Amino acid sequence: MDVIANLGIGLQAALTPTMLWYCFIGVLLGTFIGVLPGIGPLAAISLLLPITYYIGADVAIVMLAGVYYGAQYGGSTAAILLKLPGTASSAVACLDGNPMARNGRAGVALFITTIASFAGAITGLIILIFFSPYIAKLGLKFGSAEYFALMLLGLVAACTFSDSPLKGGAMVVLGLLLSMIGTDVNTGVIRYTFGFAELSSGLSLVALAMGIFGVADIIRNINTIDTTQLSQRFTLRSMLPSREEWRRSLPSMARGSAIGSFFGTLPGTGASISSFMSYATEKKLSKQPERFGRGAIEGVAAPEAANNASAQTAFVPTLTLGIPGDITMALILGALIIHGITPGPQLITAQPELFWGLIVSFIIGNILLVLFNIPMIGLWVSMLKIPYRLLYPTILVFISVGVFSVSNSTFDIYTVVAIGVLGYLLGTLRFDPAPLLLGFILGPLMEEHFRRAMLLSRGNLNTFIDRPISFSILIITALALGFIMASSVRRRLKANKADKASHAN
Amino acid sequence: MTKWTLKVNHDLFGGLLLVGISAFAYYHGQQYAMGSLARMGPGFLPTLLSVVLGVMGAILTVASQWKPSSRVQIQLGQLLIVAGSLALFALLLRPAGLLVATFISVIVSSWADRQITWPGRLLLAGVVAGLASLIFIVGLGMNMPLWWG
Repeated sequence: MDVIANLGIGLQAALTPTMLWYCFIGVLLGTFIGVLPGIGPLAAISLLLPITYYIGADVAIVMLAGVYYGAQYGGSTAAILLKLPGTASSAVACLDGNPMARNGRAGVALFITTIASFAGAITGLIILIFFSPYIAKLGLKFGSAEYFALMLLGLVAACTFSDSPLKGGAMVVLGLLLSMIGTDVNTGVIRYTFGFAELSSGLSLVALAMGIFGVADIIRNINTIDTTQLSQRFTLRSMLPSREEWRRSLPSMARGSAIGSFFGTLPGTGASISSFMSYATEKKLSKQPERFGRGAIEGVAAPEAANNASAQTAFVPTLTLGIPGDITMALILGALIIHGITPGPQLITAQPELFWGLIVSFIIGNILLVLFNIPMIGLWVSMLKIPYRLLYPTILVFISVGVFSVSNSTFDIYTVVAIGVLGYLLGTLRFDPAPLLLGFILGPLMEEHFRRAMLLSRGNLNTFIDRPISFSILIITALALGFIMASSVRRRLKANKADKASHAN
Repeated sequence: MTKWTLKVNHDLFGGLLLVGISAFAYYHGQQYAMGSLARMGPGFLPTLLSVVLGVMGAILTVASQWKPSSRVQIQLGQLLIVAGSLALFALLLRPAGLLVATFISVIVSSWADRQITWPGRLLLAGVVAGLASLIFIVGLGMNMPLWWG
């Protein structure tokens, strides 16, 4: 069997002491970051990105990936105990996890989220192992037109699930515009630098990510995050679910895993969307939807399985096509490129040790995470008690040092300040900054492929329609756009009806 | 902490902000050659994108008229203190070194919190400055000055 041979290669690569060590560090840091409200995996990965210059490419990716999927496990802890999501994708876990805690079932909720996370992650991994070689083979047939179409689909998908698709779309375009700053690769012309030589190589990705997710969030969170109300101890016995709770949560985990795996593989949609979709599905399928929001265990199990499944399958497009599955993947992609590895269809055949070693490290990491999250849960709960007033000044210093060290320039720290203020302003006006970062990262790639496709077809836009793969991707994109418009019109109609009803009363 | 609580229409201000950014990007982009679809110049996509952004902003602005205003809180004090502490760090890092820059920037940034006391603030600044120096300069050997010089 191919799969066994491949995993054999992976085992050999992953079972070295250095790889195991960085996998351990990655998932440990990931759990820590995930547990703490107010700092997410995205900020943590952008902080660690400069540090990875000092270690090898393979261990760097193993560590960064560990932070990413480790944070998906930890994120639900604060959501359940304090109703504060530790990561964006665990916001759904507040809905039923926190009522469970108030009903005295906090231990069970924490236990189920870990089991669901593990089940989701393993499902995602199986998809990753079996599908990646096929997607890579398909990817070999891709030309610039297909790449452009696929990235367009990713961007459209990213705003489809935004609260307001128009505002999400505007953020994507703003991100694309920001990516125009710097030297144009085709002509060498320097654009939008306003005389700053530091901008000629473009706006720093790390500075942008930290400004928009690190600094803007910190400004918002000071004096609002309160973790002092916590006073719980957990014994292993109090964590074990009853037979009834198992019966309810197992099918939910399976459905959540399937939904998460699907949305993870789509470029542009990631863990947050998966968990929202699977929660909505559970509520719709349930015979007693009124239990949701009052501590239904299905509402905890399904989204947790979904966000972990998608965290694993997000690696499919990232590694096999070089198109990031979501924004965190985009940063990991950036890290790979910095280390001289260009992910794409050739990666699996050209560097099998890297690819399969990474996958085996995921398996090891997920097993470690179960150990971290069940026997050691007390440790994380006590970490939650660190007051935010001690954390945020520390995080700010780490952000400054991290950004500085990318190119040894204080200019990038000023960039963080400017972007942080912009991010805060956009957040206050209820724009979701995630699509902005996705647009910024995909911008240069899209520009390159669009121009190349146009150059090859001598300016004939029909090239996107004449090529069958590109055409089918564009059809899917058009369907997604149609879906956006239809659902926002429907929402508007519903709102109007509700408005009229309330006026009538 | 200084706070502004305003009642505003998010989409109106958001839409106007987008239109403003797009107009700026459009006019600034006019100095770059457009080229043709087959051979795009450096100005082609910036122009295209700023037009798209402007249209989206305009739709948002117009559509905002059917949406209610709601309360918004701008935590101005926190914004200024956080931004100031970062800028101060950048300003001090080269001449004064990591230890001093960290110490001062933590003193400033901790101001944003309501509960912290002076002894706590000094202790925190000292601990973070020590930790940062240990991790980044001793541990990772990053290229930055530790002290004046």
